Amino acid sequence: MNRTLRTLLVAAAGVGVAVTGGALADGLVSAEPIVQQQQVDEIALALSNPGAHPRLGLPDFVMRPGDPTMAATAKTVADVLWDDLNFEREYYLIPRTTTAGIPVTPVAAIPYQQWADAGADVVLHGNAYPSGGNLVVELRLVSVRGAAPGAQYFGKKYQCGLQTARGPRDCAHQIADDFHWEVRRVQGVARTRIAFTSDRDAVRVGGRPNQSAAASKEIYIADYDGANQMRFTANRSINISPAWAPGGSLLAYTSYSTGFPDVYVANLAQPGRGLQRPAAGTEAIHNQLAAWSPDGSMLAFMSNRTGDQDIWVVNRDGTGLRNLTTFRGADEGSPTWSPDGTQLAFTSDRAGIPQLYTINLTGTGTRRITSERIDRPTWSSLNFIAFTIGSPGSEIGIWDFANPGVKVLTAGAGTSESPSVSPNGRHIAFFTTRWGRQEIAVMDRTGQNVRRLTTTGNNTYPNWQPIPGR
Amino acid sequence: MPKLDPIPSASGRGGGRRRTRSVRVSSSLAEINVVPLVDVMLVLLVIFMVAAPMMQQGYPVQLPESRQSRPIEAPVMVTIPLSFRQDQRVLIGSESVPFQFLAERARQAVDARSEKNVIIATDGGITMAEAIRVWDELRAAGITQVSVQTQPARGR
Repeated sequence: MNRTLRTLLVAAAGVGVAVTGGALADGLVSAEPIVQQQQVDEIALALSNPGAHPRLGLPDFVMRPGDPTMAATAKTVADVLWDDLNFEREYYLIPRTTTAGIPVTPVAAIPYQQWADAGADVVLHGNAYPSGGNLVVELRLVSVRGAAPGAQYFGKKYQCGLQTARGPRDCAHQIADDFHWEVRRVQGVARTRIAFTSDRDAVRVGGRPNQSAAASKEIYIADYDGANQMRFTANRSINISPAWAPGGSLLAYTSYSTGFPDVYVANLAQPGRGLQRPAAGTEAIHNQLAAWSPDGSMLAFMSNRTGDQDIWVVNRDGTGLRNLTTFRGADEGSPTWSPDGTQLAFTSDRAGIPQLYTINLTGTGTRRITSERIDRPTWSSLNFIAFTIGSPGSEIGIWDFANPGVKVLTAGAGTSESPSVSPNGRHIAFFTTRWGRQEIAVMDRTGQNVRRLTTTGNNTYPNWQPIPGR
Repeated sequence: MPKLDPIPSASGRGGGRRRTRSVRVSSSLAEINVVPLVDVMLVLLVIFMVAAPMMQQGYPVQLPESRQSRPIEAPVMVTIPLSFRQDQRVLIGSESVPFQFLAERARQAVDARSEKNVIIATDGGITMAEAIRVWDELRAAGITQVSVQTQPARGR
């Protein structure tokens, strides 16, 4: 009973996947622990390099020969799993090409000495076989060093649904997140996606004269690693600054599709249908840059309805509209919610240049955080604010409330703008001109390990999806 | 045994000498015996002469604090022993590594370091061709600076 419940819970975490429990599902179908006699309860590794990350080798999965299609699928799962584990940097991942020469054997016959020679502390051994159209992967984390090579720290059996082309990748992402949680107690982000604006399919925007010269921009959605990039809006207008709702199934964005900017809320499951406009813009009232409250019940946005640009909040159904920043004669913009939902951060030029302020949701307690030129702040669930700092020549900076002070993460090459923090607070997506055009990139919170996600068109305003289903 | 001889004065003035002699003759028992004092002082002098060079210190400075700085790291040593020719293994630090994993292990060794440099210690019997094979692997691992360890020539 307990195991069944757990299986259901893990399966329900899938990305927009209808889990039927049978062979017709996609992505991760089920996951159950493998219990072994020599299983080690305590995760204490014999490390070759104390203090550093354990080094992990990930060989090809063991498969019965004779099924090249399934073998290719298993290889995809292993490759994507390697990439996902490498992304969180909980382990030093030994490149799979380096260890390709080490024989792939059943778990009992792992050549420990060869893995130790390659520098591995542990090996994530996989055993894969087809089962009713699904691919079953048995994963075991095995020590290859120290007094007891062969000790098993982790063992779990996953069933991957392979209904669509996304299946193997989605399954590997979910395995990676489950593995990170089970072994390292780290909330992985491998199954999240990133929404962004791109002009890669640009057409000239018709209609209103003040925008007739502009090329269209649409919202796109990609996996966190840049795979499976797909177009989300298709209205041949300008659609910018997407914002995921908590739970990851609704997307708010600013669109000029009616000629003036307004905030739209779209459902990921049915793009283009059932659009809501909670901010109720008109020809005269322009609303932009929406941000969801942490519980998903409210939206904050920037609006000109009292003359200058102010921060307004509204309930998702369009009720409870009110102005938070009634300060006259200055423009406020780019709202973002604190993790507990009681405060917002925004930019205001009331002191001359746009600077970072916070305010209580009640409209009281306005406080200036920094005196630098700040744009596009985003308040992470780990209680730091990432933002664009400086202009021109802008960079990504963060303000950590636990350790106050501005820390600039990027430097030099091109400009870097508009950060969005991953749900676990360990990575930052942003757009940069360091490769010529505007491209989406992802880096660690430390500013290291920059990884490029897009290659075509100009891509801007990335927004990182919260953990789906939460 | 008080000494009655006058201590030669540096100035050598006659008047001074005469006065000194008359005082000593009259009260020789009240004079301080300086010989043990000189002994002790000489010993102390020798001690401080020996100790003084050891007390050489840098100027006292209050070093600035930095959250960004990293400790100075000892360089990674790669040793190519003569047995490399037989077993194709080199040493990274003190660990024996087969040649096929050399690039990966070197990458692991410098992974967290800001300066990607290693020092090669090669046996004199290793040929240039063999050393270059190792060198190539290190360059493939992204190591930008490779130094060769030598010892000073004896004799001339």
